[in-house]
Amino acid sequence: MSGALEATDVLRRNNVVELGNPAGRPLVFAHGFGCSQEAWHRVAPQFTDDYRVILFDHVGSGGSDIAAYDRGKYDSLHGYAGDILEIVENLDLHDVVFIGHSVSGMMGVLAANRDPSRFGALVLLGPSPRYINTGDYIGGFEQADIDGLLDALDANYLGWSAAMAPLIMGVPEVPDLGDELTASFCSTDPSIARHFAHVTFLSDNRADLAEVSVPTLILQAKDDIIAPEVVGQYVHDQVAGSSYALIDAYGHCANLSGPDEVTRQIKAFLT
Amino acid sequence: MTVIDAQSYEDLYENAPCGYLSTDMDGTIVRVNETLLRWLDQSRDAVLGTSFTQLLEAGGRMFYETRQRPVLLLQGEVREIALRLQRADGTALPVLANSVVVTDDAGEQTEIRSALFDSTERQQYERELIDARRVAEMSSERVRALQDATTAFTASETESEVVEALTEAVRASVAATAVAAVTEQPDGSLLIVGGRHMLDEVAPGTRWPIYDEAFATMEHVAIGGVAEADETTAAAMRAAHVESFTVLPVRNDAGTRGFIVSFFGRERELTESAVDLKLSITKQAMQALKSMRLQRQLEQLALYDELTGLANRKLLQEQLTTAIASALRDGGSLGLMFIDLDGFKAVNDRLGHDVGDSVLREVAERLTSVVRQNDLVGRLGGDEFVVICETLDESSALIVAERITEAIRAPYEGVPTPLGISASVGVVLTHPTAGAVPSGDTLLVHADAAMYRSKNGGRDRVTVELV
Repeated sequence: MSGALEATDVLRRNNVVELGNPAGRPLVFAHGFGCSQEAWHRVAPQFTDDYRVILFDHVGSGGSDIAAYDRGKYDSLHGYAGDILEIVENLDLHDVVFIGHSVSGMMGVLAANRDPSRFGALVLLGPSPRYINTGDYIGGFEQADIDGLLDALDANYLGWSAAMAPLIMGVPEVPDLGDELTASFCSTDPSIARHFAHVTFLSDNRADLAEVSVPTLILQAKDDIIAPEVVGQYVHDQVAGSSYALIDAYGHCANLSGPDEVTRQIKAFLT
Repeated sequence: MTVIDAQSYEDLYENAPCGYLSTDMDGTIVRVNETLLRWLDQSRDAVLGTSFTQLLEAGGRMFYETRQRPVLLLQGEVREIALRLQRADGTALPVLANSVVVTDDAGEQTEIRSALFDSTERQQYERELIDARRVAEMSSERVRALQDATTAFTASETESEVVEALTEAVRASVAATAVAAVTEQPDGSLLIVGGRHMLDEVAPGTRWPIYDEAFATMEHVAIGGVAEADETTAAAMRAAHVESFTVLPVRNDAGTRGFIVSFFGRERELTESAVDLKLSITKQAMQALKSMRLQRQLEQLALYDELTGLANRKLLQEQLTTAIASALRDGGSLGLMFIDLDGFKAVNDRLGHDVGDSVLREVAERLTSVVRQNDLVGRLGGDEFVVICETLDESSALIVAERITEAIRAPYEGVPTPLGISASVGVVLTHPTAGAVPSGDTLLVHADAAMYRSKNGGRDRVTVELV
């Protein structure tokens, strides 16, 4: 399936960065909606002594090749899962530990279900297979909340083009270069951000959890309003034989708010 | 220098013209000023100790938690974030927020301080701007999708290229994982003519129940999720990672039915305008296919002689090549007759072109009526005609050729007897074998030479030559 793209194309497309011990077990870190591989910058360095650490940006995020953003392909998590498999295949990784934050957790589930032979373990940090409440299922949100999120995205991107244009076009009179550069943290093209928000928050991958066959750890932070405890528990119940840990970190981005705790939990799971 | 006492500082904080808020690194509110409490119509006790995100509306909370908080933790600062706070009575207060992370002497992050500015005034016109921009973006996307499709159709050289361009244009316009074009064949069966059919990949040749539903109403129909599908369809959807798909039935001018099937990797509901766009693109493709077929008809016309309606030189050459190949393949024989009219020049010169033309048309009709059913009669030009006769032996050749000279010899309306028309016929017979395959041109040269022998031998006769 993936033979069409050269390794260098895949690695450039997803801005793949390799760190750590080349002979170590491969750890693939995947960022969630709203950020980029920077989200792991306090966690990933703690693994470089023993592990081969692979970081990447999803197409449309961070330093990925925006031109590769095909709306049809990335209209579902399957498109992203396909990219993860291509990265793993092109680096010829085996016994991969896939560590996915937020929506990337489900991408990892889809990738591992498609080709379990490549994966040795899954670590899902704040996963949710479905954000919208449906029947007895509690996801935490209603459809109207998603519209509110899109409104908030638009309201905060109103000045995006104006702010980013001088930077992109290399106009010299940028008033405060430091500020402008930091503005690139987690920056995304607004139309891609909107689409990614749709795909993230309107997907339903509950049925895929039962098919997971690799050892899985679910890391659930306290007071995660995006993926609340009840959802983390649901994922734990649906993935047979999975481990579950309620960790001492606050909010949805525990990889930034509690990087040491996240690291400790992953290391404990892998040894 | 004015000395400001502690009480003034406190007043400056509490009653500043903006809201102040401090949280710990977990987002729990640890300090808040009077101004913000007044805006929220909340008591200090109700707010302290709760999470900052609890003050936000649900959608804004998602945005803050997934986009703003990571950036704040990464770069230590965010500015002019548009948020909507919830007042005690449930109404919204739009604010712009600046936040900074405070670090202690040891470099540890200790708290987050935010200043909030009431942006109710801006909110209204920004809302209008956003709405206007969404509308503008949608319509420009629509125009671009249609333009791209038109460009792709125009660049297509074959019908299958048009169909591929169609499925790709539809795929791009509705962000589908894959799109297939299916048409109904004369026997009622369905054929995938282009694109990628994800369900057919896992269950080839299935006639999905939704197809007949689409044909029954000729309206856009959708399977919005695996749960909505019948058992067979649901199983295929699961196997193909298809979460939803839509079927758009169409009918072309010739009455042929077909449809565009769009596959999605998640549950999707298409808006009316998206369906509309699909339909517009599809109609454009059908128009392109129609003009392509017209073009082909014109090309067909270019293969026939305008005056007589017989095959022209181009078609004769093509058919001769085909006939030689099939004679070689079947081990059969082939005959080629070259017919030149005797006395035609005099008719044309003395009676005029109109009479000449009507004689040529009459000759064409007579030739067509006396040759065998599968023989092909053509006009090379002027008063030269050719007949290609597949599987012809010498005796039948003579019979056909004699019928031709007899038919042409008969009188013509408007042509006085002294100016009679007859035919000099040259026949060449060949039996191509692997070692000796004559070209079409060679056969024509030989038939022409045989015809000249008839002409030199006194006209109105037949000469047969074997090659």
